[in-house]
Amino acid sequence: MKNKLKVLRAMRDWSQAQLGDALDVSRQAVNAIETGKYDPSLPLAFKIARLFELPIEEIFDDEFEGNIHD
Amino acid sequence: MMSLKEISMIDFKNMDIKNGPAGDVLRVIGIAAMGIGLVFCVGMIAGILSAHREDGGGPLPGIMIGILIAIAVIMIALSYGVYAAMKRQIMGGEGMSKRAKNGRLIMSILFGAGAAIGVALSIISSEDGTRTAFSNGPLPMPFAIILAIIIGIILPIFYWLWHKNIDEQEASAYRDGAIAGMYAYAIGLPVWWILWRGGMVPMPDGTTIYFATMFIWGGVWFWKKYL
Repeated sequence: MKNKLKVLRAMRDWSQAQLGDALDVSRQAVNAIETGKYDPSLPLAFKIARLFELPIEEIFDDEFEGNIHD
Repeated sequence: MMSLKEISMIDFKNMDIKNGPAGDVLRVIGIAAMGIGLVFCVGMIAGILSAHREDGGGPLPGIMIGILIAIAVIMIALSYGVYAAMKRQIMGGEGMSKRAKNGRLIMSILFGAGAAIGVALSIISSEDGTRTAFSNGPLPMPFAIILAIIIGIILPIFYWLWHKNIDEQEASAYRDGAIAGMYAYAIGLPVWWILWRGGMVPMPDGTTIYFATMFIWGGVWFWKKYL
């Protein structure tokens, strides 16, 4: 899943370690999410959204463009 | 707040090698390599002394003393290397959470315990002439009881503590490793057994199967966690 975590982090001038500390996850976890190698759980995604004060869908993009009923 | 232009100029990949993901990978590989080196050195010393005893014993010749001193110096260097790398790995860089530090400390204790068990097995095994830590040779009963208690009762407490301190990405990496290891075991063992019954390979060996499973489990965990 694509996300804007790296850009949002850089806009606040935070290191991966600092963001990891704020989210109570490791630096490797932040790196894995930023590079799209790991999709966070729903609780962690909400935590990220709350930290950046943005809706989840503005941070994460599942690239779904069709109708949910299709 | 930084502008988008400033953000685009940041070299994320090379931002901080010592504290960044690349540093973590190199340190973990280094600690594992130095740990294996230490066990290998202990095995060499035990082997040399055992061979000397088998040849009749007596005072050690100068060349043998020189070799033993050289191995001891290498061991001191490796021990310091493991200590320095582990200290950095446990302390981490700026902003590392208490939970992450706890997880790394517990992992280091487990690595240390594994290395100590390997060294102890190398020394004990060399005394009965098998000279390898993981042979199927007999062990003195008190030593076997102590090791069984450490592996079966004490270390699982640390496993539990480690699981309490890891984050969800590491837990996911660990589960992926466990699945890969289980598949390797579930497929590899029957294949080996069938080929053995067909007279093409030696009889399946429990120690080899155990280490192959753990190697795949650990390798996938490492790949998913750090790479």
